[in-house]
Amino acid sequence: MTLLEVNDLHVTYRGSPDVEAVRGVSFTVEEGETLGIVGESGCGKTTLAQAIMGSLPDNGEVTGGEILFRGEDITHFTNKERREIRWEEMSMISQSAMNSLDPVYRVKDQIREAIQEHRDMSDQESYERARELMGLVGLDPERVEDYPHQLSGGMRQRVIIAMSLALDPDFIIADEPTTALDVIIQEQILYRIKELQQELGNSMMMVTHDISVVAETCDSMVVMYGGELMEAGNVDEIFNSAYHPYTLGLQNAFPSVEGEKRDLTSIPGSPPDLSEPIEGCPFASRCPFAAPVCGEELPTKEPVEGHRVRCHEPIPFEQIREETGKDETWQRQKQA
Amino acid sequence: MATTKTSLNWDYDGPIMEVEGLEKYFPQETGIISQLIGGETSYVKAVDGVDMAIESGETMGLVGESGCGKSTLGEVLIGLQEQTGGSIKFLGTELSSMSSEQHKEFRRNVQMIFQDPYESLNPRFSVEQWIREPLKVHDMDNQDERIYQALERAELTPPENYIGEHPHELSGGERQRVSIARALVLEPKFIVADEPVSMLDVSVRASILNLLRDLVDELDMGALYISHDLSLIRQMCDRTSVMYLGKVVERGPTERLIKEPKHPYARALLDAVPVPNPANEVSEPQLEGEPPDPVQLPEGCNFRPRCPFAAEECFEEPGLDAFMTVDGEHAAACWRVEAIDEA
Repeated sequence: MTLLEVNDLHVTYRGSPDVEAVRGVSFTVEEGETLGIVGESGCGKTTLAQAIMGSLPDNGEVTGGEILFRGEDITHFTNKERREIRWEEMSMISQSAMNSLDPVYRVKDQIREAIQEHRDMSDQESYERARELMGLVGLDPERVEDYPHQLSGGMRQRVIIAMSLALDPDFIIADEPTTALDVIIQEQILYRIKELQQELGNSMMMVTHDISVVAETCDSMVVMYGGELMEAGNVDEIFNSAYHPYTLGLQNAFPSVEGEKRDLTSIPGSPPDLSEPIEGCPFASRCPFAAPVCGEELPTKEPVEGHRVRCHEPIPFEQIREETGKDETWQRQKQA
Repeated sequence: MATTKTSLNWDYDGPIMEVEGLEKYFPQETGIISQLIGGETSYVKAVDGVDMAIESGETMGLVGESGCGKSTLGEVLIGLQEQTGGSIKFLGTELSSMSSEQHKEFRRNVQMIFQDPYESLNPRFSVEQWIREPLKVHDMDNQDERIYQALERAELTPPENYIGEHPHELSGGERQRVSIARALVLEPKFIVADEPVSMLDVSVRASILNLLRDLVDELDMGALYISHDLSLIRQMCDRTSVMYLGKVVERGPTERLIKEPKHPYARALLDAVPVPNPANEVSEPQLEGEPPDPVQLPEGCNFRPRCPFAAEECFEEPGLDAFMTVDGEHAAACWRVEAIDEA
């Protein structure tokens, strides 16, 4: 069953000039599935997450397309309708735990507030629930008495996860949940998130710049660049046989402790200016294989069922795969 | 020799940076009452007896969790913080006994590249002003020429396109290159790079790592590269030291350490690094919780309370020679290496 369906979504930030951060993105999330949204800064991944959550900044606006949650378009929901589904049906684990906890309230009061806004629960019951949630994310229940500053960064991130689970939502969006943490704490948190998801059976969308986190935790993935979807499909498919030069570039730029040491490539240049309209592929200006047609339109191909690639294939994909592994290929582009 | 008083010994052929038993203890804030009654001051032992030698042209990796003392060690090495014990020798001369002339020379020759290119640049300074500042402080000649050369070395070319820019006009990668240009403009012989790419996009990380590696090589500098991520360390470092609660618990050639870690902490650290391979599911963490406060250190091995392999002998503190390969290059401060290898 499809839980979430995003169709041709456009999001614009009003200002001078306007910035179109998401430019026609489509994908689905099935029940029980974990989808990874991968991309670098400015690719539109956080905007996408906020549009789905209904938590865009004041100047952000959905300017096209639809977001169907259980078949119902939620892009036109009023604030009141949004509040009804937030926490209860979808919740968000945000990037920065420091900023999303209120420093002047004890942990128990913050969790209780989220619960009592939706459920008719007594103080005692919600207090018990808060303690139970702390245990669920691997924290000592006694720490509900603490203020946020008394907790370490990793503990605060666990509190955020506890809050996102408070009302047992069907869909959780995690936006860079472990970016500020070191590898040991990151592993603990990701493991706990996966374990809880298996126990509770909810769907997830994991937004991150880290392809190794996606590889280890997600079923399918979407690679974004310049507000557009570049490649999407099953995680195994994309890691073992990616097609898009940008996906391949990211993979070859990523270090690993596994296997033999290899030289990393980098992608010269910087992302496109999203206050301008872009004809064709947003990656064309940094792509070593770009042909004239790439500046005209952005096709969608499906070389394997369920694996979408937005690329003209200016040279055969097999050759692209081979060439993207060499740093000279990318550096050539810089000279051009 | 009379010359050693005024100048550092540039003919010295030992390690450019050498520390022995290095300590950095921070006194804990105590209440006024306990101070009045003469209560004992307790210390945070951020760096607690570290030995390390870094050669010219070599990059030493330093890896550990947040709070293990790795950043403090980096700051002490380049004189940003004063050591509270042990020895630091630069070009064979003890830091604490340098003449003021020598100390000035030391300061010019050690530099730091920071983690955050968004916060470490002054937003009101142009690139030129920012890079010129250290030249002014040290009253150097040929400043314009040096600035151009530093920008070129940091691959910000052509330099004239960059010197007038301000930080907000630059991308993250360009900002980190500006930080590198500033650190290099004095042509230092030793640099500390503290997580220099963790704030950068994946697609530009490799270019900054490659740049740093080439510069260490070309300029024959010694370098300490600090990170919590062994996959980045692997790209940069010839040898690596693993730090836990102020102590080095394992050191060795980086590849050997990655393929055959010996200390249980190094094993856990390596296991925690996610790999870009979907055949690998996120595994059950080998370590629970976080390192204890480095004030109340446990008896014996620091890692004992978190160690799944701890045994009776671990109540006695192991030295780095508890496990050592025949060539002495790979060493771990653990009594239990053989038992764990067999398990």
